[in-house]
Amino acid sequence: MGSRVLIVDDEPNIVISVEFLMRQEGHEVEMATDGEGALELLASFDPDLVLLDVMMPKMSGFDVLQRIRTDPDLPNPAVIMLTARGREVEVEKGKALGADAYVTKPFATQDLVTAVRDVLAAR
Amino acid sequence: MSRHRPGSVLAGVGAVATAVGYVIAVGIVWSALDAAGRESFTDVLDRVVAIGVGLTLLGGVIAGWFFRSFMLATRRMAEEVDLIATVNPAHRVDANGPALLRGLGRSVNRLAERLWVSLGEQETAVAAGRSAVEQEKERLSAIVSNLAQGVVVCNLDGQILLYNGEASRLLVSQDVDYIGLGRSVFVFLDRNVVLNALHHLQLQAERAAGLRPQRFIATIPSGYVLRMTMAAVRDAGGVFTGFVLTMEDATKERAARDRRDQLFHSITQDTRGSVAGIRAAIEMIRGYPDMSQEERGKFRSVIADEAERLSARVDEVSSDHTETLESAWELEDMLADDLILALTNRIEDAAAIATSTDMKAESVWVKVDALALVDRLGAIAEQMADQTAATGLVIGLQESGRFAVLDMSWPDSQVTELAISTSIREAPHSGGDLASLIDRHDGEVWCEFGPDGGPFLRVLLPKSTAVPALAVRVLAEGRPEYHDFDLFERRDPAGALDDRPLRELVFTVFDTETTGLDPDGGDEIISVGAVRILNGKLLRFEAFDQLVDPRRSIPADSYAIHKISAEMLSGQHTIDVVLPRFSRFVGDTVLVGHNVAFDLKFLQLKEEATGVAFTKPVLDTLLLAAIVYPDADVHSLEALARLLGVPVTGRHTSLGDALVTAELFLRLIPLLETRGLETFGQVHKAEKETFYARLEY
Repeated sequence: MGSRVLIVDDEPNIVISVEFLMRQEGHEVEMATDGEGALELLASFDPDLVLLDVMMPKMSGFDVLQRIRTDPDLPNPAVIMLTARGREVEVEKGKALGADAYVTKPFATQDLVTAVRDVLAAR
Repeated sequence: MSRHRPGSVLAGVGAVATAVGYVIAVGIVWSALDAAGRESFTDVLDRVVAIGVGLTLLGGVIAGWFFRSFMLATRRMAEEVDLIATVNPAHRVDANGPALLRGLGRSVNRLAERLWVSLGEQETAVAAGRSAVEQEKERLSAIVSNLAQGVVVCNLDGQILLYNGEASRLLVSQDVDYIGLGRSVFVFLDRNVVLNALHHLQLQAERAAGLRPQRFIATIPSGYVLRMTMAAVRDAGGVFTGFVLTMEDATKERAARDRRDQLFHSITQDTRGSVAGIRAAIEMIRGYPDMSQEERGKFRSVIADEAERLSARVDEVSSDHTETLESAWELEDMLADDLILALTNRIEDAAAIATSTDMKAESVWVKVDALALVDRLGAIAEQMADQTAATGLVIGLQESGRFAVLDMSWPDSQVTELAISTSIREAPHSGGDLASLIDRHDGEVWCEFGPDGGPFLRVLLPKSTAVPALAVRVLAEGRPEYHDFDLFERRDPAGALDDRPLRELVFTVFDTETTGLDPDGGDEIISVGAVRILNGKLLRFEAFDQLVDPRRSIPADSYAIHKISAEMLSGQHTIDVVLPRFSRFVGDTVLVGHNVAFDLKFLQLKEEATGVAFTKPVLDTLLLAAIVYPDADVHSLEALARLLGVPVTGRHTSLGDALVTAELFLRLIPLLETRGLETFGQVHKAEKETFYARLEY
């Protein structure tokens, strides 16, 4: 059963693969390249899951996550953080801010697929 | 108690006894005579009495002369023998005194001659034995003085036992003008920070583990931020006797470190994205062989594109950062408690805001750049205090998995999320922003919200993996009151000055030159010179030597003595600047001077104008000499110097006279000891008695 997945990342080269992968999984996919675009799509697209890159210009993934979790006017989807830094401390921070899972770049695509399935199943 | 000269007493007693004898004899003759006889006897008696009184006086004078020339000479000789035996073996007794003593005098001088020769031989032998040790010492001090790092060695009381030029350069400033042997290191360094480091060294020693030097960061009064390393000094039995501090100016390290951080970032972050793109694309191609030609083409161009970016990046990094890589900087292990202590001190020093701590974890080790962290977090605390009406700051510490969680919150304040978030990202004029600083620590920082919705600053720092074993012990026992800390109070016992031997005390020996002898009449100080005596040694190189602009003319007769002209004094500091500096030079030492009441009078008249009062007990070499030589006229500086064998140079400069006075004082100490005067209290009391005795004459 397909879900709505919002991919938020400013790196087109990774978005290409993630988008392809999510469509192969049978999900409906939308994409944003920065935090502001993501917040707009959150309201209109109402995703079940957000794949959220941490390192983005202007608003970081953490900023977006904090908005999602604290702004009562926004939908409250599951969030998987993607990061190019792979530091344990970011995982800790992501957890503290309310992320459901954390995937570090570079990742095995299968791990991402597993994480997405687990998080969606847990909802 | 007043002292009488024994010679005159004896002469007096003799005269009285003779007079009594006359009166008795006259009484007997008188009773045996009739009236006429009595009349003619009275005539005779008048003459006899006149002769008798004359004879009696003569007898007194002769007795006095005898006493002076013999008894006094004997006593003088005893004093001189003392002098030869203690401080001045070059002295010779007067062999031209009374005939009876001449032979003895010559014998004493022959003995002194042999003592002199044998002392010389001894000295040569000792010098030969010592030269090897001295050479080692000199070599060591040459090495220490040439070190680029500042080095300070202290005993457990924080008294400085050794320091080098770099330490002096780093530590001495406008506010704390003096570093010196025997002075306290705590005027430069926060006592708590030093004690804390010592405490950890002692805990390590107790566990018989290897001692890891303690590192900490200190901001000192000169404004330097110093990176300190403290190592323990232990005696052969392993007992702590002191510590060695090495220090470096930490601000220099900044630039190199920033370059390394850039390198780290460019290697990790920039390449991760590319590798992720390549990996995902390849996995798509392999995992979905049925994809369209067009889709496959997209993934292939992703791979080509990212591979190209990667190789360009590699070239860039290796050409830009060769030098940086060679000077790798390491973060240092530190107790999070210490970090918070340093931070609290920093905030309280700036008097920014009242700070309390909320420690939910103890003995958590973190790997940090303490300097930068304390600096940046401290600045944020100050900023919040400035911008809002925050009255209190709570610094919290807890553990979460592999991380130490440090929170800074401002309860019941107007501190907003925006203010905190801005402070995280905003770079101050010097150094980077908090976010990138925490980034360098592999940590994270953000604005978190408390249960009441109040925003606070949260920092995650990775716990140090190399947690020293002692942390376990501290954790198990909490933080014990460490009994050895009593050692630090040992040297400042209130009121115990009187019981301490002179040899153990620290003295400041000083002298002043003035425009004249009448302070009440407008004469002024024109120079102050002083040297310090520590452990019975004269510290010639730690001198105070300052000319003073008296704001008046120099009388010709005073110029004739000190040769200090008005031109030399113009542009010098005035007394209101010099006296506070001198007071800091003196610190809590005992003042010593020759005829010091004169100098003190000048100082006292300036108390109101300068706000500096010298209220501690003072010793006067003039009075001390009078204790040792009550009969001799050796009370001028020159005469005393001649007697005690002190060469006189640079007289009538303040520093020159202070140096001579100090040498005299050092030689008077053993002479006072031969008279049973050893402690400050005994000497001070004897000095007072001598002073009043002199007043009576």
